[in-house]
This record gives sequence, structure tokens and C-alpha cells, in this order.
Amino acid sequence: MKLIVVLALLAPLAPRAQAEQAWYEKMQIGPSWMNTFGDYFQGQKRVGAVKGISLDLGDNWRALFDTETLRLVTVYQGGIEWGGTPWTGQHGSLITLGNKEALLSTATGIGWADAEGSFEDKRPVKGFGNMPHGEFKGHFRHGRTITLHYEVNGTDVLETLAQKDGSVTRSFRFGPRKADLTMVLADGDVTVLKSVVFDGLTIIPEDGRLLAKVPKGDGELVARMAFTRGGELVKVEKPDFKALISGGPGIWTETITTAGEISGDTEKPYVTDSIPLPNNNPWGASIRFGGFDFIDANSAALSSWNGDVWTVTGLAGDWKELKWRRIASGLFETMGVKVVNGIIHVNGRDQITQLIDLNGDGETDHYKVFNRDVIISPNFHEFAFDLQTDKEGNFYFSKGGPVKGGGRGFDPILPHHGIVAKISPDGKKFEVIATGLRAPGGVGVGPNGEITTGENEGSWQPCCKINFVKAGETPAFFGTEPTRQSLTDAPYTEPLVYLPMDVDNSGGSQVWVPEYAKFGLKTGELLHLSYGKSSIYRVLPVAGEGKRQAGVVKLPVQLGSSAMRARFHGDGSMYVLGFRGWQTNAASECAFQRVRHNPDVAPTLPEKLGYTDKGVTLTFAMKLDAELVEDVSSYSVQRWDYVRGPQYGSGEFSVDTPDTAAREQALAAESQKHRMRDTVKVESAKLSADGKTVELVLEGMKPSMSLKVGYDLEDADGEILNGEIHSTVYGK
Amino acid sequence: MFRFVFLTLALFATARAELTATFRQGNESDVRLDRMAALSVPSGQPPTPFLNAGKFDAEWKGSVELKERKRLYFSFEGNGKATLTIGGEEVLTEEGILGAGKSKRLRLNPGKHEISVSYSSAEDGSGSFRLYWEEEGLPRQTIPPTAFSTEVTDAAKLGELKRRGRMAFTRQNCAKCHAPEAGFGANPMPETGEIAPILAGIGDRVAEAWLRDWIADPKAMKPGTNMPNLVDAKTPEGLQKAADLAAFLANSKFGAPALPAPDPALAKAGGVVFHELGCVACHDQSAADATRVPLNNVAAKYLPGQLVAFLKKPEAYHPFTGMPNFKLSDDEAASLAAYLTASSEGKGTKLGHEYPAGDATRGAEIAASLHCGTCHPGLPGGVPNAPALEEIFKADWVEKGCVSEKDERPALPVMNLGDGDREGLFAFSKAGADSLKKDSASEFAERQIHSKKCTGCHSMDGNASGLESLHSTTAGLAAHVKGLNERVDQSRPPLTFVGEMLFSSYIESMLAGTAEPRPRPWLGTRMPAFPAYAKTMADGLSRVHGFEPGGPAKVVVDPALAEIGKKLVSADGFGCTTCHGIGDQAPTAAFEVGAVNFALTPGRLREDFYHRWMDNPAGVTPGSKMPRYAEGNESQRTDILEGDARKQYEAIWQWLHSQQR
Repeated sequence: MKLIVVLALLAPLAPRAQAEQAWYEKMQIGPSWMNTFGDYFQGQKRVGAVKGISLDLGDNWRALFDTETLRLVTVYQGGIEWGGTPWTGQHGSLITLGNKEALLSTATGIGWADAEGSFEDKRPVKGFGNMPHGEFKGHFRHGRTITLHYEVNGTDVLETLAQKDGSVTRSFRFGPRKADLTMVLADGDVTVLKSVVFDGLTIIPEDGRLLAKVPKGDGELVARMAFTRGGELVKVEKPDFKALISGGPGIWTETITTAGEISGDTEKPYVTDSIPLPNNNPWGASIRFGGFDFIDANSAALSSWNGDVWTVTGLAGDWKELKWRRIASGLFETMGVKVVNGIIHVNGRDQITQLIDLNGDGETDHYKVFNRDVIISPNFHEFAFDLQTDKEGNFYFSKGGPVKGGGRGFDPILPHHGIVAKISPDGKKFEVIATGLRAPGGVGVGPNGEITTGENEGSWQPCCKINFVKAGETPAFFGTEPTRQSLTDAPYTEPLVYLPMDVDNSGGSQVWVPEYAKFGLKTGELLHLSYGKSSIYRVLPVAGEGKRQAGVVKLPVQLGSSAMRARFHGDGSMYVLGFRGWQTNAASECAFQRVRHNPDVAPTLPEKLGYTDKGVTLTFAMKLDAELVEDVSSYSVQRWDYVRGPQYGSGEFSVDTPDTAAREQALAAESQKHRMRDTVKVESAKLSADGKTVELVLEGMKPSMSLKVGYDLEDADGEILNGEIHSTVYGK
Repeated sequence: MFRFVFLTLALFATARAELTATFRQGNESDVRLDRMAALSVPSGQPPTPFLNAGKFDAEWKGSVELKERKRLYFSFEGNGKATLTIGGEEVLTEEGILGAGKSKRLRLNPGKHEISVSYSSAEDGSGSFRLYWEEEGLPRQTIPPTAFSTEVTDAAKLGELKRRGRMAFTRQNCAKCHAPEAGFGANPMPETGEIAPILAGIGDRVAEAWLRDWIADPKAMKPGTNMPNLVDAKTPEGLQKAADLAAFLANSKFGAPALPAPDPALAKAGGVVFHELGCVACHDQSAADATRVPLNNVAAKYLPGQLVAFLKKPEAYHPFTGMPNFKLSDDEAASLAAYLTASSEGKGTKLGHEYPAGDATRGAEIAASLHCGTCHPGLPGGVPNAPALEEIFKADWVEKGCVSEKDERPALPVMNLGDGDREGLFAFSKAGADSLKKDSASEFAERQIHSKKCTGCHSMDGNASGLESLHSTTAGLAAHVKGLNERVDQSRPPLTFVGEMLFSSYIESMLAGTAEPRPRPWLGTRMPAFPAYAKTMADGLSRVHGFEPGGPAKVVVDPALAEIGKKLVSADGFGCTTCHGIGDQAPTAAFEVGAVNFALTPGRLREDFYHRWMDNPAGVTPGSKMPRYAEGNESQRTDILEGDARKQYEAIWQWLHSQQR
């Protein structure tokens, strides 16, 4: 019986007739669920909470608490109207609570009066962000009971909700209070609401709303209030808050074991081993991991787009038994994980959360807020991507702009749309270090604090690219005018390289090759992941003065899904993670894989790119066949420009014979159909004395946003080396 | 085979890549420019309109240009005998059913390589041929037109010129007066059957004042018109004739009740329709661009309410009109009419004539004397006593006749010819009248692409459509509509491979306006109907690409393979359902681009093209957002069907054709 009830609670039924439930209707999300929720208030649909936490109270009862305004938004019995991109795939429709017949609801606004007794919204961005006189600090899970933790006017507050027979009790533990505290209990039609307060609280009816007063006092106060409509009020015993915040029984106790698939390939320079995912889990949890980090050599933590965090252990062994545990759930579109000093930090749209296992049973008991200064809106597209740290311990993630449902244009811009955020090692300081982003699918942090991001073609972004700034060069503006934010006078920081659509149509993270890598690449090299093309690119920086510039060449690596995140393992291999949530050629929903380099097979890639006054130089690791290398027909070179403007993406524009009218037109209308690449004649090709570098003299070497050099060579042993480098030329 | 070398009317085309195609039959030969080396000629029909049905040889010559070194194999499809020569070396010869073998691997460096294909039809004159290439990692596919180029020889210039002349000849309705002695036969050039607008009841539809101006100087009113000048508006007599004819026509009424004019308040909404449908691809509101139909005379032309009726069914009185049927809703037609009226009010062409009062009775007599009824069915005046078709081809048109600039006989109509038409007609005059009594389906399709301005909206052979640059000129009309610029990608499909891509039965339904539902419902522009030649045009497009016209063939479905296909399409596979709907099942997360519903696939796509598309979508449609799931034949999905991409795509194809779907 108990199991049936639990299943019913965890899988809220949408109001629709189909017999077969969608996967998201069947997924057991857990007792708490953080998201942006819509709901109904006085008959109107609204954004219930931009940063909300929905609590499962049993018997299909649900409460929504707004963690920004610290307000209980609604308590109701009923289902959910599904929406939300990671769930239904829809763009723009929110997950909406079916609370048309709520037990109680509160009007949009601040949940607690400030020290002056005012409920006025005094946030710098009205309606959004943390309020000045209170903050959400996290929540605790004890079995299926959730306890919220927040602070109001300097007073520490724990709150838990319980429901029995339609009577809902809010129980609080208040710390010392210098003054009375006032909270909103309910708005609208409160006349039929039966309510009772205990333990020294008082109810203050006021103009169609109910407030409650908490008396000031030096000591702790545990207090309750209960509500019902129609039924009887049930008096609930005071909860044992100490127990509630000390960890309790687990709810995802099963371990799922999968056997790794190790490639037997000995021919290719890179081989891919797969870690089968816990797709068959008892909770119907969607496994689309979008962030990971190693906890230690033998285990890793992975966060999913649908808000789970799982661990896998057995990585250091023979992979015959890889053990998966679901350690946390109900987080908000978590696409970044970083483990620092053994603590798993997971980045959701609403906050960076520390996952703390208080009782050592493997599951998270304390979802502790590390930083939640990020200001978000309900827009579907403003994903929070990745989580990285620099050597000082600062955290970084990137955030998308609020692109509209069709992919063109933006919803109203808030201060943290389209940025790279930096958070201090203690989580207290949140800083914007880059703006002007649209869809930066990930970030990279270099050994010396270099910051990189990917980007996608779209409004103000002519194509994908790799943004790059060194430490000390921030804040930087990366080109999307609507998300320029406060950098009103900052110049446009052009990227390291522009990437045409057939190279990358949606960027992921960047990763730097560490000293301990055994990957056939040099320490300190940069790799770029393409989410859209499920590919990994070696970035070849071009030495020289002036603007930073580079080329990319594809690594011969085959992946099971997209390339979103990568980290090097202590054993020198690279783990790659990706899922499929928007456009990509990823061939499966998600894959977590290990890419190993076979030291016996050298990758036939250029390892260096240079620009001269007259052309380019390519350096390979091996000696090249002189006859082919000096034959100019072994190369094909093209160059072109893009136009950056308000239109979606860009066409390709001639550099050699600039078409001013077409470039101007590209500002007025989408120009992707304009494809005028210049074919650049290779006048000569000369092999260096060591036989590894070829110097190409081109008919004119000039700045171009894209320079594509195709090569079709053989090494001294007759192995074919063919491929292409895509680079950007700002100057020599 | 886009054949207007001097064609200034090729509004949107830039330099074109083509091959010189020489057709031989006994001692006769005919040269034209072809977009690709392909043909499909049924037995009993001539390979070109200038030859006869029966056995023929064809030779395509030119260059194939490579941007980078390729290691290519070449192969054929079709039947007959074919030989391919690359760089002077014969690399493949086949006879009978073509396609069994392929050339050796040729390492071709970047640059141009001389190419020549010799082809001989079957003895019965039927011919079928297509040319393919393939490379390691590039499945066999037709060589795209953009890879070809050719030096245009004098013979090719002449071939193109006479084709241009032939087209002008029918467009000008020359054969209405100069009728053939024994008709055009069973399978004539289709355009010989075209008629000018039916003017019965014209008095219900248009204003007499506009008719006067139109008759006085049609070219001034509409530069691209085929209507000849029949009165001399510089003389009082001419003005009197114009007034009389207008009075006569204005009297032609069905007595239909007058329709109310659309509410001018709808004009703003109509502006949005005007922009959304991309009307500027073919129309110019300012009348400054002679290559597009001006709209400045609309208000002066239509009587209240009649424009709505015209917009809803443009072909009602003019079956061969270039104006297509957009299947406008009543609201769209009313608002569009309101907009067109408001935006042309007071902007009509000012000819400055002062007409005397017109007399309808006299007008009827003049109509008879001018033989208006020859072109406009229902008007008085039978076929004039003009020389028969066969006769005029005996004359030197430079010196004599309607086309000659030297022949000043007053009875001759003053023709409104486009640039280059006259030279074309001169060239055509030397080819004889026979070509009007037959046609080539593929040449017909190529002519229609031009005359129906298909490239106004569609890109082709790497050339942007006209609308690409023109559409923004009307963006202001819709600037107030929220979200219009925030929709998914609004690109229309390119025409480069259309006849190879789609079954001709499907193209026919698109042209006829009967294809339901719309394949790309997300587009603000929408494919209008061109019903007059739907089947002929669709069949021709198929033959241009060397394919026999037809519809879907039954696909024998292997249920086990189809089941794998089902998985590959789902979120457990490539996740095609993210962007593609399947019947009533909407796409799960379409973003930035729309995608055609899979339920339409079996009725639309040819299998070869499907495989080519699946292999490399951006290779077919540059910039396509359709992902590429394999390189070479190595699928990203290694765990299904041994990672063999071709087999995986075959499984999807099977599922798309299975009953289960």
C-alpha cells in the first residue's frame, strides 16, 4: 500500500486522457524539486516562483516555496501541467502547478516584512533575485521530509511542512529575533480558510490577506500553524528539527551495476571506452548527464539536466562492475559539477549547491547553498552551463541569453543573461567577468586563469566561436549586444577563432591538457568540444603580436553522444560526457566515455600553425613526403568573412572582393544563403629542412574571419594525412 | 540547361555553371547548355524540340571543377551506351542497362578537369542517363551542377538563342495570327496552346479609365507585358480608338452585383500578408524595376471588390497567368486587396492623355478589325488574314514582318519584346516552325522555371533567390507584428535537386495546390499553386534529372528492420523526433528550424535522394541544420547494425514505409 501511495505522489498526473504516461510523468523526482514553476492565482496563470522549490506532501498534495522571496506560494492537492524544455522539450512553456483549487496561495511579492515592516519589493531588479533582508540557505532531507533553511532579518529559520487529511501544518524553528517578524500566510479569498496558529504566533488579517506575526525573543522558538478548507484542522506534534537536519534514511538506496565496454581497437590513435549508464533504474529517472567531475581516481559525480546527481565507482578497476548511485534529485537543470576538497558542488540554474551526506549513507541529506546570487528569469534558454575552478579556487560558469522560442531575438534582458560568472572560493562573492554571450555551452579555465567559452550562431553571433581572455583581461564583452549588460563602452572582444557551421554548430566546454595527460598532445594545449558536431578539436594558437588568433583541427575521436564536458583522469585518459537536448548530431541521448590514446599510433594531425607575411605554415609531428608536400595542388585554401549583426547568424562574405552592399544587407535581413568564399591560390609550398613543416605562400595573406586550409599529404612512410584547419587571421 | 545566354531577364541568376550538350541525329545536330549530364527521353518523343523522335546521340562537354584534391570514382545510371572521358582519358564505358560498374579511382587535383560524356540512346529513341561520383567517405551521388562549367561555343550560343526566340514566339502569341496550316499536332510545345486573358465580363472587373490607358500604352503600364501596342496613342485617332475599345470592353458585363470594396482599415493587416507571402519577389510597388510586375496601377484598375476576387483565383480569367494561386483565406484576400489599393492610390502611371469620349459600338468594330479575339477568346475578330506559320519561316525576319525593325507597315502590331528577344527570334526563324509542333519535357520545365519566376523565391545551383535580397524591402510592413522575426528559420527549399529529390507525383500536387498538409507549415511564405501545367512541369523536372516521372513505389518492409528504424528515429536512436513530427505526433523540441513531418516522406522522397540527404544534409542544402550522423559510412551509432550508416538509414526508410508508423 505504501509503495502505491508513494508512486502516486511522485508521479503527478497531468490532466490528459492518454493511457500511456510520458517518461517525465513517470519519473520519481523526489520529495523536493527546484525549478521555475508557473501556477494559478485567482484564476490567472502566472509565474509562481522563478526560483521555486516544490515539496511533495503526500496524497498528491504539493507546496511551492519561492526561495527568492521566501514565500509559501501555494499549497494544493492536484497534478501538474507539464512544460519545460528538459521535460517536454517545449520552448517557453513552464511547468505549471495545477492549483486552480488551492488550499492557500499568496500574491506575487515578498514573503516577509523587512526591518521597517515593509513588504515592498526593494530588490535592485524588481521581481527577480535575492531580497535584501533575507536569503535561502538550502534544504535538508530526512527520509522524505524536507526542511527549508533560510534567514530573515538576521534570524535563522528552519521550516517544514506536513499534510494530513487535507490539513496542512507549517512548522518553524526560529533563532533569536531582535524584533517581531511578519510573514504573508495567504492572499485572496481567505474567508473560507480555516487556520490556527500555536506557540506564540498571531494571525493578522489585513485587506484580503492573512499575515502572521512571530514575536521577538532571545531564544529559539518552535512554532506551528495549520490550515484547511472544509476539513478538520489536525494538530501536528512539534517536529524534531535537530533530527530533521542531521540526516535520515535514504530514499534511493539501490545500486545499479553496469559493465564497462572497453574497446579492443589497436589501429586507431584514439579509442573510446563506454560506461553504460543507469538508464534502467527503478525511479524512471532520465539520465542525461550534463556535468561531471572525479571525486577520486575511482569515482565520479555526474549531474543530469533533469536535476539528479549520480555517482559511479569502479573507474580505477577493470570496469567489470561499475556501480551507480542516485545521490541527489530535484535540482534545477544541473549541467556542471566540480568536486572541491571532496565536496560535490553542482551548478543549477538557481544556485550552486554543495551536496552533503551527513550520515554517510551515500545520499545527500543537506543541499547547502554555496552561491545563489545569479539572477534568472523564466526564459527556457538561459541555461547555466558547466562549473570549473581556477588554481585559486574561484568557480566559473556561463549563462545563456533569454533567446525566444523560435531561436531569434531575446526576451527582456536581466543582469546575468549571457555572462560568465566568477564566484569566490568561499562562495560569498559573485562577479560578472564576461558579457555579450548568447548560448555559451560551456567554459574552460586555463592553468593561468585563462577563460574560454563556446558560443552558438544566432542574433549578434555570426557563427560558433571560441572566446578567450587571459586573467586580468576581464570583464570582456563577447559580442551579443542585447546581453552587453553594464559594459557599455567595452569593445567587442573578438574570438580566438570563428568556426563555420560544418565545424561547430553548438559549442561545449574547453579543456586544457594537463601535465599528467597521456594523450599524444602537449601539456598546456587547449581542446574545444563541439556539442553540435559531437567532435573534439585541437586548438592551434598562432604565435605573434597583436590579437590572439588560432586554428582548429579535429581529433580523430568517435563519441557515443555529444561532446559537452571533458576532464582528464589521473591515469592520463580523457573522459567525455554529452547529452542530447537541442540540436546536435549526437547519436544517443547521453554517453559517458573514456578516450584513450594508443601510444603506438601517432595522430596524423598538424601540431602547429603559423602565419607569415605571405601565407601559413603547418607543422606535423612526422616527416612528410616531399613530393606531395611541395605540390601546390595538395592544398585547398578558402577565406571568407562573416557579418556580425542583429540578424540570426551570417552568410559568408568575400574578403578579396568585398561586397559592401551585401554586407549592409546582412544587417537588415538574414544572410545565410550568401556564400561567397574566396578560393585562395597556393603559389608555392616549401618543406622545411627537418621535413615536418610546410610553408605555404598564398595569393595574398590578409585578415579574414575564416581561413580554411585543406591538406592532402602523405608522410614519409606513405600514410595519408588529409584534413583541414579552420582558423581566423587578424594579422601576422 | 538554363538557356538564355544573353538573358538580362534572368533576374537573379549570376554566372551559371553548365555543360555544352550536343545532340545528334543523322546529319542533324542541336546544341544547348545543360545544368548537368542527365536526360530522360521516352520513346516517341524527341530528345530536343529541334530534333525528331528516334535514336539519337548526346555529348556533354565542359569542365568539372574541384576545390580540393579528390580521389573519385565515376559511374552511370540509365540505359543505352555511355562513355566518360576525364582529362582526355576514357575512364568508363557501359552499354545496355547502365550502372553495373564504375571507373577506376581517379586522383584529381584541385582545379578544372576536362570532362566529356558520350551517350547513345536505345534504338527506339528512348534514353535515360545520369552521371554520379563517389569518394571514400562520400556515397555515390549526382555531380552537383555547381561543379560544371563550359566554354560557350558559337553553336551553343545559337542553340540558346533559338530557344529564346522560340519561347518569345509563343509568349507573344505569334502563332495565333500565323496559325499552322494543319494545326500543331498531338504533342506540340505546350505554350502554343496558351491564350491571353479572357475579357468576357471585364466591365464588371476593371475601370474603363484604366482600360483606356492600358490599350493606349501597355508597355508604359507594365514594362514586361506581352500585349502589343495596337493603337498609336501619339495621334488623336489612336486615342479615339483606345477610348472606343475601352468603352466596348467596359460594356462587357455579366451583370454580377458589384462587390463591396474591402475596408481600408484592413490595409495594415494586408501589408503584413504582402510581406509574409514575399510578393516582392515578383512585384515592384514603385514600378521602378522593369523586371517585376508593377503594382502602382492596382487602385486605378480594379473596380471595388474585384481585386479580392482576382487575388483569390488569379487564373479564373487567365489560365496561364504568371500570378499563382496562394489559396488566400477570405481575410487574407480582403486585407491584401485593401493594402494594394491603399498603397497604389494616386500612384498610377500618368500617361498624360486626354481621351475623347468612347463609343462602344465603334469599339466593337475596332476590336474586330484589330482581331482582338485572336488572342483574347470571346472578343470579336477572327484569325486575320496573316501568312500561315509555315510561310513566315520562309521569310527573312530581319528584313520583313512583325519582328523586323525595318518593316514599317502600319498594319503590323508593335510588339513588346524583352531585351534579347529580337535576336532570339531572328535565330529561331532560321530553325523552322517544326519545333513548335513538338517539345522536350525537360526543356519545358526549364522554361517554366524561368517564366514562372521560381528562382524569385527559391535558391538554385548555389544562387540565392531574388527574395533573399528583396524581402527586407517590405519588412517595415510587418515590423509591428510581434514575434515575426523570432520564428524558426524561414529559408525556402532550394530547387537544385528538386526533380531528383521528389516524386513527380508530389511535385505535381504542390504545383496544382492539392498537396495537403503543407510540408513546411512554419514558413511565412508559402508555395502557391501554378495549376495550368502542374503535371507537365512536374514530369519535366523529373526528366531534367534523368528520372522517369512517377510516384511512390511499394516498399517491401522487413518488420525486423523497420523495428530498428523505429528505434533509430526515436529518442533512443538519433532522436529524429526532436525536430520531425510524425503524423499527429508533434516534434518534441523543434528549435531554430522546422522539419518536414515524417508522415509525408513516403509520398515525397525518392529513395536515392533520401540516402544522399541522410549521408550529408549540408552537402545537399548548404547551411542545413539537419545533423550529419555518419562520416564515410561509419555511423556515430556503433551499437546498431554494426555501425553501418547505410543500413541504419535503410532501417529508418523501412520504418517510414511500414504500416506500424
